[in-house]
Amino acid sequence: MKRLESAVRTNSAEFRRRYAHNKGLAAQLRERQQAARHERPARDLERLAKHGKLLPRQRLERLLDPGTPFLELSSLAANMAYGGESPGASCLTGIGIVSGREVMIHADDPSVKGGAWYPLTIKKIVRALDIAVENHLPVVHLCDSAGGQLQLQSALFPDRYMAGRIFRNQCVLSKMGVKQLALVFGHCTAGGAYVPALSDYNVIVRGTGAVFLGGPPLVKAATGEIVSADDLGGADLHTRVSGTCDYPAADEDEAIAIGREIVAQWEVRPKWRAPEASIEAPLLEADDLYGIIPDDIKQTFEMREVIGRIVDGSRFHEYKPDYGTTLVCGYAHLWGYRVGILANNGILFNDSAIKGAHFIELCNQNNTPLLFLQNITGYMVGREYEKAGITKDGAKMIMAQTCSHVPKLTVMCHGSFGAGNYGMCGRAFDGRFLFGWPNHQIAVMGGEQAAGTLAEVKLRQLQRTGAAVDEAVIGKLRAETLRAYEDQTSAYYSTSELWDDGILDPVDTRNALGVALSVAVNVPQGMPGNGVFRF
Amino acid sequence: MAYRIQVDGRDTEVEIRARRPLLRLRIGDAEHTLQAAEACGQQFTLVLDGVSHRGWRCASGDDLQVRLNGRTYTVHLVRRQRAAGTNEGQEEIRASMPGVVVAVHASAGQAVNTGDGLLTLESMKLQMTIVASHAGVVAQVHVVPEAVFERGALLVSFARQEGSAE
Amino acid sequence: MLKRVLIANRGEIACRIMRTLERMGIESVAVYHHEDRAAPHVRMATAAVQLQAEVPTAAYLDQGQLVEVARRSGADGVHPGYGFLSENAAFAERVADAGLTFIGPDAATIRLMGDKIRSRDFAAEHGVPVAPSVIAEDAARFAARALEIGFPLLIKAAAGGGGKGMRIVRSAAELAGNLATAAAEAQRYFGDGRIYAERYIEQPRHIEVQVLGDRHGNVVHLFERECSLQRRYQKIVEESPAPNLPEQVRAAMCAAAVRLARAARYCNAGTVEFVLAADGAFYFLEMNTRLQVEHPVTECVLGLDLVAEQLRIAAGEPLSVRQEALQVRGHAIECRVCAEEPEHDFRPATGRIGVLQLPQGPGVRFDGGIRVGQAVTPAFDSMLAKLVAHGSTRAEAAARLATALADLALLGVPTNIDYLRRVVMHPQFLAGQLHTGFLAQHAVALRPVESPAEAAAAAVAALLAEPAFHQVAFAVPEPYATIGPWNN
Repeated sequence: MKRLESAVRTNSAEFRRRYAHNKGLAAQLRERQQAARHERPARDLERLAKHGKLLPRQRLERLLDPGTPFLELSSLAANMAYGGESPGASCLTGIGIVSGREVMIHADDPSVKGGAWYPLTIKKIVRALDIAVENHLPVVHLCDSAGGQLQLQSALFPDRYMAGRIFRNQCVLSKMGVKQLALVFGHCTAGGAYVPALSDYNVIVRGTGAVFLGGPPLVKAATGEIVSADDLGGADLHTRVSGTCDYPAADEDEAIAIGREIVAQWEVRPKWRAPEASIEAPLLEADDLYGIIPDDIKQTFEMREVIGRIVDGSRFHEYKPDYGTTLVCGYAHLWGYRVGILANNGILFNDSAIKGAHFIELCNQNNTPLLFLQNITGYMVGREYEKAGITKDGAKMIMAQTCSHVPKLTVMCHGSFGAGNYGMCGRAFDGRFLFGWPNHQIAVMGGEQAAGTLAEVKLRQLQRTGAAVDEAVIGKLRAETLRAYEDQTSAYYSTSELWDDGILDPVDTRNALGVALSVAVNVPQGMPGNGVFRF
Repeated sequence: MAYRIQVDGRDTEVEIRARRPLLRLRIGDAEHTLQAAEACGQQFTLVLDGVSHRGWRCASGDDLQVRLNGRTYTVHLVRRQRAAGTNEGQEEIRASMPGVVVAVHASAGQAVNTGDGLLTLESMKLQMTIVASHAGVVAQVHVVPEAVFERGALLVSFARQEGSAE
Repeated sequence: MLKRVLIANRGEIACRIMRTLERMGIESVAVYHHEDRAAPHVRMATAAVQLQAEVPTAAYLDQGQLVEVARRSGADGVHPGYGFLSENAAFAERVADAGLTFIGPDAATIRLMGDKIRSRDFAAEHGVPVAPSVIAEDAARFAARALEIGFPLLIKAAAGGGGKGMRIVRSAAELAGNLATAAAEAQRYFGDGRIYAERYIEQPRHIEVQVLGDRHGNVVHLFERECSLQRRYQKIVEESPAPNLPEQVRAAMCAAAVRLARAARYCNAGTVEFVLAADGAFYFLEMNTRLQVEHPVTECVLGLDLVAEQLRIAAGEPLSVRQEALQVRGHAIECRVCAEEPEHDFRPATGRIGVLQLPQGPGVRFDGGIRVGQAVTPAFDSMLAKLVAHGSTRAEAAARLATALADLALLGVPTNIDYLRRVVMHPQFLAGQLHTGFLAQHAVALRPVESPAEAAAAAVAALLAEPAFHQVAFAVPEPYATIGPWNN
């Protein structure tokens, strides 16, 4: 396989300008992550320390195999919700290694309002468990939550993908033979009690751990019975009498040690795909990405420069290099696994869409996972292109992509606008993982286009009714639309709403994709086969 | 996660820093690279920081004796997990099923060690010995030989230990 | 010659005696307590009989049972080894009364030498120098006599052996209090409250002379052994010949030992112990009427088998050696490998032997009676084995012993092996500057030297033996192992 040559001129003014801009965005990301992970009211930290409790990240650090990576998911979930009072959506999820096995971790965060679940907390936990279901990934739950935020119950309880989905997913996992372990460090109240109860194995810490359907306040309100948390659902009760819990632990350290030993007993299932090459670091420097990514959302850039900084040995076998050139397609190895890459090098035209659909079919035939690198303003519009069937060609790409049985990964490298998002495996298309860079934006169309479109529609409406055109009204509509788009197209809004699995510092992309791919190749996505293509 | 160990009684911490290209460990304040390690039974060879060591090792309890270059080191691994079956904090022993007392082996005030027999009970034609789950002092034996007891009956209580939890 | 010998002992000495029996075509009968049921001496013997006793050591001290077992098993001789009943006159008598041969001196000799005071008087009568001393008859006279001898003064139980109850009094003011305590201790330990005091010699050496006597009146000495290196009043390193010993002192000591043995009509192997002062003066301490632990160093330098000599003497045969023919060849050093912790005041240690790799090489002898899997319990003495090195010079013997100690891997129980190695490599030891306070004097220099690189290697070796660590270190899959400690 040929090595990609870089054409980047690192001492150009453009490179240096972009570098400063993107390095700044990465620094801002780190700052926000730091705050979401560690900034807590002193009062909450003191309370935890008093009970001999560790913070979720300390628990995680002791649980994971030393010196191994941890891919945290959606670290900035809820960063633009609830007035910022639920950092990380009050929980921690991610993929790491416990006793040599890749596992999904879900940890409640008792340092935020007693670990109570917000609607986005539930969305984040459900997403983590969806990943576990889709990728056959065992789960370790680190339980310590006061239960759902009762004031927000309508947004977290009744619907299909709300709280019940957590427990539904737990049952599905267990039925699939994908193991779950719960370590009960604190309270598991109401629905939360089912997390350990539905886990295949659980450990409870004596003194601080408790599992009950109704906590002491609820019991008192319901029956008048006054009972302590420990008597109601403590370690001794559940490990000696009720059998709800399996292993008692004297403290959190022991619980973690027992937990690690339990995980060490789990079978290691063979993966669907194995690496086909030895691992080779890219030849090109990942740090250059800061100077390659544009500092303007409207600018495009050479995606091969990105590919060369992600894949093994910077080697790339390009498919149909001279046809449909706005979509770069080809094979590469990522951490030894072969992948098929589709990367946007401009607007999707008929030929690039057809080439994309064809390449996706080839990867399916070849059992090769797909990696989508998005920088797309959409499929080309206009009479000429409609005449040439741009819609049906885009539909071919969407059909092929959707029906793929190979796992798919997506990185939002810059813009993700319009139907291009669909063809390039946007969130709705069940990719196994979707990450974004801090610079990326997502919307049905660009803010300016939306403002222009809405102004145009309004103008026509006014003209139809013969009303006078008030330029001020049109201007206001245009400005409001622009502002709303600005807020809601940002990477931070996207990740706050869990439209992705987290924002990545561009230089972390290779590592993150390594973990994601290793997990994704555990199982294919259903059976091969397609729907009906429109020719 | 860092491992806590004691080498000849000296506390130190071991951390895995990297696994590729070679295993790199931090032991105390120093970093070490393991170039090779082989074992055949209790004999081992390892190459650490370019120096080859051959020796023998042997477990005794939670300690490991390592004989290296004509010198024996005792390495203690500090475990976060208690041995299976230990049951600290249990201050009394209750009957898990109805039965009859066959023999009493302990008496009030007696200091017992983990595993010491306290009572022999019979239930459903099966004799079983109740042993101390932890070291302590027997406060009272609540049954006498041939006594019949119900499930949940208090059999033996332990004196509260100085410095025990709470 | 004897046909079948019961060994009323265990451990390394039982095994050592059996090796000679086997070579001489004599059958062996081992005895053992339940705790020792899988011990090497039980496996080595032609026949083995279990002794009944609650306390393990009591089994090997049960005279009635031993004699009964000896008779029933068809033995015609009993070898007591050292320790246990080896210096028990009553046992020697019972064995003889049962019509069996006791492999050791007569009961009368044992009885004479077993009494501190009588043996000392006997020695003095026969021109063997004894330290000025006094025995307590009544406290007031004793104190007066003690003051005559002068300080420092060593006092101990008249009936006691070894180091138990020994104390050094350095001034008249300390005398009364020490006497009272010593008397109480003597009463408690030996059932005999009499106290013995003698001149205490500063930095003394402990030198003993091996003698052999037969029923035909022949007595020879087998030269001396230096036994000055002691901890807790027990020898741990012994050698022959004694270093830096003037020839005339050696000759005088050997002559005195032979004189004593001849006077006692000593029959079998025995050892006359002396204390040697820096000025060359030496005094009789006691006579041990048995085979000594440290007898191998004599065997090495003389090319003799002392157990074989014992058996011949017991069978009534004359000595196989004449004094003039005995010549010391080279130098031998022995050290006692004990289950103990030198860093914690030599406290005895217990465990289970998991690794036993014996050293090889010219001049190296390992006398053991241990095996892999054997539990080391507090039930018996902490000595596990003896390691002896023989060389053409003392330096060669010391070097061979140091190498052998390094090569000896005995794991599963803490031992003094490394400590012994530091002792035999110490410059003052190599210079032969020995006295009974040597180990205490050089205690600091004899501590282990820090070696961080080696300690790290030991830590790694230990961790790699731990399955959980091994898995964590090597079972992490790719790409995680290559990515390493990264998080996003």
